[in-house]
Amino acid sequence: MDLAEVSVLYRQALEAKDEVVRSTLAQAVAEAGAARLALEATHAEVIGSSGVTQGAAVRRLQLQLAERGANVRVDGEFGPETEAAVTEFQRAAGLKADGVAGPHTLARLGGVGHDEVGAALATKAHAELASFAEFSSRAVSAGDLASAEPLAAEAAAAESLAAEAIAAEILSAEAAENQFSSEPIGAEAAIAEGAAAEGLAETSEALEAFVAESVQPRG
Amino acid sequence: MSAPAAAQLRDILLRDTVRWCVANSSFYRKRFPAPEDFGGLDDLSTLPVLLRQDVIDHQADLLCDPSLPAAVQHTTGTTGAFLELYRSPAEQAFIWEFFGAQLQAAGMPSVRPLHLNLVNAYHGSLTAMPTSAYVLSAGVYDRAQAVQARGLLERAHELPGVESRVSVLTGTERMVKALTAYLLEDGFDLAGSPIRTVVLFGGHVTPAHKLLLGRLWGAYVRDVYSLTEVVGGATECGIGGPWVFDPHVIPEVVHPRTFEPIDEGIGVLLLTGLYPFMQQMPLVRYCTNDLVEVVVPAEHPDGLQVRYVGRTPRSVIDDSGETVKPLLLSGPLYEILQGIPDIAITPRFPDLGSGPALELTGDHHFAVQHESCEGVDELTVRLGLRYAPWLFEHRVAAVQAEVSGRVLAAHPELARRVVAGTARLRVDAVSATDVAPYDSK
Repeated sequence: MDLAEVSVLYRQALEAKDEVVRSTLAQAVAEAGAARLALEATHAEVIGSSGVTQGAAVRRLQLQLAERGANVRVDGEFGPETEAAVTEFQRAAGLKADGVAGPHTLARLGGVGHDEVGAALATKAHAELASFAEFSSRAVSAGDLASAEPLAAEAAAAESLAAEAIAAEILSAEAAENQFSSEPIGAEAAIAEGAAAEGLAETSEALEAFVAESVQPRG
Repeated sequence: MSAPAAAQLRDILLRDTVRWCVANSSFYRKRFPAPEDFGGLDDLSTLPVLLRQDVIDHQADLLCDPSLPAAVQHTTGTTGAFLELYRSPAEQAFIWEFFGAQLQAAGMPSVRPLHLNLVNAYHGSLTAMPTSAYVLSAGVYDRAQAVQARGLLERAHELPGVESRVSVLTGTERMVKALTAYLLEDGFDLAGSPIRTVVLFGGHVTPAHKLLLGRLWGAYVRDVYSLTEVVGGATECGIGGPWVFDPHVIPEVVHPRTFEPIDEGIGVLLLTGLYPFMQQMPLVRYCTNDLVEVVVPAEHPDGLQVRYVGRTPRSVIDDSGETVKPLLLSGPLYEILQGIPDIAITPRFPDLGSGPALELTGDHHFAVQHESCEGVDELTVRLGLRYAPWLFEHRVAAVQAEVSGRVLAAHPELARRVVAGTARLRVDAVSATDVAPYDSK
């Protein structure tokens, strides 16, 4: 073994490792940033011709309609099919049947409990993000760390990943909410939970798909 | 792009490691080919996997240097017998000189950061590593040590060329949590302290607890993957991000049953410590018993990246096929149960006080049972509650439902099998005394 050669290779390899960590973090920041937008978009107030017409909020609306038996594609596009399904739901629910999903329609679709959980978690997410942004700026302003730049990037990533965690938490909270209303655990209930978990996975996939879509135009 | 440098370095050192092992260890001589027949990194997967039990059973034959070790280190023994690791004087000296030279080449900062390292009494005498930081040490095993640690955090230090206040806190998860909890109970203003980074190592810490520590300290939390057994570890990319490995260790992910290398899905992590970083007791293809998910395969120019998902002995997986199907992983399960306040906790550091914050360091009472009966997997999660379950029946039902729902949501394969009738999940609630405390390792 040539120790000098090993030393040089080690230094090069370590630099490469740091670069991989940095680029992975940058990618995570981009993806989590999109997830954060998705998180905000899923709480849009009006979906339809006079509001949001595409993206995660629409996808979420379509999932909710589909769960209630509507024949609607979950593609994130508010087309005639979705509009008809909204109108049908509004008619059945005794709401103004205009095909635009406003706060009343969304509340009825998601349930008051969901909105409360969503609002509470969104508040929590924003608080987490604000505090991580502060850590990040503190790390940079400290200026005496050899790795201030990567540290800031990592902090930013942690900040954004927190948003992802919160988004996941929202989905889990919804699942838990469903569980609370079910009968005490038995074989049948467990099977129902399995089905709920499947639905949850589908919702997660829908969110992931949205993230992928959101990232693309920026790239 | 210097990514190939890691592969080149590993190839050179792996050949040296095999040469060293064959020349000096009767154990390895029986297992390894002659060095001239060994093709380096490309042949690594042809070498046998080294299990923890192999090391325990053949420790004397495995040693490559019979001289008196400079240090004896050991694992914490939470998953079985203690494993003793020997480090020779030559090995210690090499590590000091090598990393010292690297540090000199990189240049020292004009003001050295001041670290407080919380010592762990379980790992024996540690290997000294050169660092640009100036490191203070304290314990947290009892109140007197915690008071001393607090004093070191509060004091302005007058050390030439070194920060006046401690800015980085390092330690294992238990130690850092213990100090955090003690200080909270003692009214210490964590977020107002100059701590800007908390470095954790030596065990799995759930992302939720890393976020909690970050929030409490107002600091960035950096998690480092490390084992007592192997020199070299990995860095986590943000909280919950993938792990990127050090260049002086070789990671592999293999199928838990066949030990065939895998490049996607879940497998068990093997680590190879390399000569001359490991000399007296090198461990080649050592099975860590950590289950990981491949995020970026080893063939990628960036090298292998993985995400931790659990411990092999504490997880339930279906490894009958080529692809591992996870039914219940200890990582997500532990994270779910950490968030249920009804579960009883046995404190780890009773000498620090009995305040609720100290539960942060404790062990939750729960267990997982798995039986296969006529093609149906029966999984039972037993929760030891803080109260007698018959006292609060409605609350117990809600806890059972929440745990069940979250476990299924985190394990789609289990959910699929429950729906198909080939698996059943039960969540049993019992008194704390009926279930032993669980250790995340």
